[in-house]
Amino acid sequence: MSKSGFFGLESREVVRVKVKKYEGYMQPESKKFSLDPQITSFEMLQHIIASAFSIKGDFTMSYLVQDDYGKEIYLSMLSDWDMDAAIQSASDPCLQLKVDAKPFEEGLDDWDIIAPVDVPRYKMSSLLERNILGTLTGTLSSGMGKTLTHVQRAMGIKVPEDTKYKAAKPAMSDQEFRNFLDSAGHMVKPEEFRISIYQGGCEPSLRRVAWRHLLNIFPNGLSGKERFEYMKKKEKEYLELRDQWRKFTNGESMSEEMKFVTSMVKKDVLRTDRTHRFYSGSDDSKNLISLFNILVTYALTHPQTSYCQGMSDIASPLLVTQKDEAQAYLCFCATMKRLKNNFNLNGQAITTKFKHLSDLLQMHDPELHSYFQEINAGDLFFCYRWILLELKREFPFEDALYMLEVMWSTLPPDPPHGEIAMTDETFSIDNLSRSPCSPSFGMKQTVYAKLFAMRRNHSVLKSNEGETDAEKELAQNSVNNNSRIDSNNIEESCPITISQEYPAMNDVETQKMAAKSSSIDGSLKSPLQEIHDLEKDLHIQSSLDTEERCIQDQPASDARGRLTLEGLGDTCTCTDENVEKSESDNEQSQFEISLDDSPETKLNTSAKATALVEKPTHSSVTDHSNNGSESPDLEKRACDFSPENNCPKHSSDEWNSSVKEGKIIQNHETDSACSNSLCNSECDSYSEAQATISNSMEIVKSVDDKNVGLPPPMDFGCGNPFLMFLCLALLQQHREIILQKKLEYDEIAIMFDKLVRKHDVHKILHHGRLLYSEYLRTQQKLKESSESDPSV
Amino acid sequence: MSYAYLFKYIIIGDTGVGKSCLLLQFTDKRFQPVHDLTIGVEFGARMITIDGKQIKLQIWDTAGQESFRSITRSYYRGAAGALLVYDITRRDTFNHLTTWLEDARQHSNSNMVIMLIGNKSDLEARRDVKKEEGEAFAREHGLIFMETSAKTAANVEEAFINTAKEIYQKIQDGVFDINNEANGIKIGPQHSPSPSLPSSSGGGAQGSGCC
Ligand SMILES: Nc1nc2c(ncn2[C@@H]2O[C@H](COP(=O)(O)OP(=O)(O)OP(=O)(O)O)[C@@H](O)[C@H]2O)c(=O)[nH]1
Ligand SMILES: [Mg+2]
Repeated sequence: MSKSGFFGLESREVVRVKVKKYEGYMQPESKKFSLDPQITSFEMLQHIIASAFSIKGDFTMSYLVQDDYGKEIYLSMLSDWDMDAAIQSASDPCLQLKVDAKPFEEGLDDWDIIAPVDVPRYKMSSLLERNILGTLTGTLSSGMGKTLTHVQRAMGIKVPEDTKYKAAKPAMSDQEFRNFLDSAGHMVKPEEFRISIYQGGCEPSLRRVAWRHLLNIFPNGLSGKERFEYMKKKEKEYLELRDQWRKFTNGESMSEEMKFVTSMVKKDVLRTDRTHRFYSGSDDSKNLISLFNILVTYALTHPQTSYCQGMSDIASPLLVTQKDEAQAYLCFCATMKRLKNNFNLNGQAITTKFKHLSDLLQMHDPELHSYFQEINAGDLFFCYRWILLELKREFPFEDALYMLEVMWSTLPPDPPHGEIAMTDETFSIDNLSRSPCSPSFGMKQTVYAKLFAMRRNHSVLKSNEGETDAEKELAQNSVNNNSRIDSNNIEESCPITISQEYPAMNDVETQKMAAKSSSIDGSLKSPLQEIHDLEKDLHIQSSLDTEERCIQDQPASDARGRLTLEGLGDTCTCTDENVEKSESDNEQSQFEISLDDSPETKLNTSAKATALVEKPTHSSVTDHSNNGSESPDLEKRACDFSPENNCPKHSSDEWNSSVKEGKIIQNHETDSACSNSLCNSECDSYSEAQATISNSMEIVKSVDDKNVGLPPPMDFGCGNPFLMFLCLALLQQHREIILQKKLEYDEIAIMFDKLVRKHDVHKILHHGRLLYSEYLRTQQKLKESSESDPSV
Repeated sequence: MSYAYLFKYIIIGDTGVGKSCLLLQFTDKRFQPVHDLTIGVEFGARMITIDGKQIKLQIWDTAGQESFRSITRSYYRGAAGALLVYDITRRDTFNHLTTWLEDARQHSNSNMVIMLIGNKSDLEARRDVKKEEGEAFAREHGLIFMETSAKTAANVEEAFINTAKEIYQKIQDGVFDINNEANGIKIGPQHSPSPSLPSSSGGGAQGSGCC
């Protein structure tokens, strides 16, 4: 295992180590020794310590550093990476380690004991508790690591290259999944469920069920049986919707909208993931027709969004995973709820994401960023597909499924209020049954409608804050946005007028042609008739799936044991040359932070419900005050993320609406929005503290600077910050080639085009997780410093 | 990899007319019956020889659908040539040409050479637009015209190369300001960017072979 230093370790020849071992009530034991960082791996260190103290069971290691307040704390050491950081930051004159030994059998049982439900949340933020938490999570992964080490030692295996980037945890199995449900099948630990997916994804056989939870298609509080009923009901609803439009697809009675949508969707379905065996059959195979139905039903029942290219890429993995049209439709609606703004023709959401990605790159890799500027590639347009499809096409299909679930797991649970919407608000079934060329279809979304929608959203805000400056400015922005739209953009912003944009579409001849259009390609011959035959299969199929089995079986009593056995991660082997610029940390810190943050509100929901309602006001006000903050550096960055650059307000609306309903999940996000302006001084002193830990650790110091200016998770990447970090990881993965060969814009674009479906998911996720955990930590710090500020 | 000139092309036209297939046929000499639908813009490049000179074609293949227009429009500017493609088996793609042309003229530099392409000529049985109609449209709007098949490769080389010849001729005629990269033309690295016009056909032939 190569472990040439990430942090210029070459300079440290021999490191003196002082170890203190704690075990139960026994007196702590101390030992000293020296090690050569050039040749010592984390695995070896574990071995040295195990034999030095004759520890037979499992143990965790942590190392002493000064925290940002100058206090001494222990950070857990879980990997080579941590060890490098420890050595580099070793407080003179030696590296101080703490070893907590435990009887081996205990191992992973801590996993459940430390579940947030059992630990009062308010304690979590205190340093002491954090440390305990760190140690406990350390147990988890060190347990995995150690076990793996044992196995490897026994088998004399060297860790192969590609396992270096493997997840910290094996994919979630069916049995592990049941741990998150109670005996009646209620999802009782949604956060742990997500954390677990985050760490290792889930087994392919579990995807069908797990994705439904990840994608928020279920309202809160359903038992397994109720979920089953719910699915059946929704399935029926879907089939009704589908049959509504299918009645009109036999030629003459089709509306313009319907002709446009069906011919468009057909073209694209024939070109979507056809190399995957699921879609590889003939052009009129059952699965292609299902994909077609899903997209057309969605487009026709969501006149404000309709169909746009890219949607087929988003729907495709959902159908492959659900293997059922109706269920895939539900998942698609849930996904589109979050992504529809990507397809909004004014391009605002996409523009904001580009801006955020560019800012992120500037903070993390100024060299690459300025090189892009130099060659006029600053727009990063070659990342367009990455952002629009959330990287779905960048990995081999199966790997993309894994990447998607990991990414979804970072998003806060967002269960539908009541039931998941299967049509948009403006849809009424009459729309479909109108005669052809019905004007109601043509209305889609005019600029006026958009303006109106924005205003409506504002009045939601208004109810909380009255007419503030912030709101006026927001309103101003939306007006500006619209008034900026020139005649071309007006077409862009109203998909339905597209067909009218072409004058020819309205003449008699074209209308005849358009009527023919569904058969023009010939290749997807009358998909609509085919459907009738399929219907029976589709309808009955879904009755017995994994989920149901989960309900029927009692959770197996050995589930935890299974988890322990399967808990063979290899956290200790993650040596990643490609991420050497990142901070000396390990994915586990994400775990710590997730535990620390996200579930918090969950627990306090009822208590905080009223307080939360006021938060959006708070945050949007301080958002603006950011612009006037005193710190020049922060001020600049705060400006970068000023409201006009923000995503279409939808994302905050979503957050706001979930706030209203008292189910916002990551309240630290609203908090940290405020904290930006409140904690300038803390942030500065924080960086100073970091600087004193080690002057040579440029990187560590800048890591915190790097993330400080980034917007909070609810805003960053329009609510999907993890995607931003994955994109950054993709860019950085190829930075050396780009910089060394001085690639030009087109060469970069061609390179990334050629890499379509070829990126290494493990490398990218590994790198992405590290970057993301740094970011969360910064957010956490910002939050804490704002909390500890007495003036708050 | 050295070249005398670099020409930037853009390929435009309705979705599904075969833009990406044409590009793939030109750059890789193969036909992929199920090409991914294009999201945003994709790129290709190939070296050709005109008049003994190595010319690098850098081709931007845009997505046909409306929703990508705001992105694809930004690529018009800075293109020396455009391939405007329709599908001879789908009249609507022919009917939309006017809109495409307006869009292209509005957002590009005025000297951009536009080649009109009726693609899928192999599908004679399903032809929906007569060749004469294409020719008439081209004549009316001052475009070069060709029918191609990305599948059989018929006329594909010619379409790209004839466009380059036209651009090259315009350079010879001094119509293009080659020192302004916004025109979609770049002088190769071995030419010192001198203000004088490049030498005409007499110049020594460059090393042969494409990239
Ligand atoms: N028979 C035949 N089929 C073709 C030809 N060119 C393209 N096709 C088919 O037409 C389909 C669409 O071609 P693409 O190249 O993907 O179309 P495009 O213009 O790039 O479409 P967008 O990327 O959506 O703008 C392909 O899947 C091919 O099967 C051709 O010359 N002959
Ligand atoms: Mg294409």
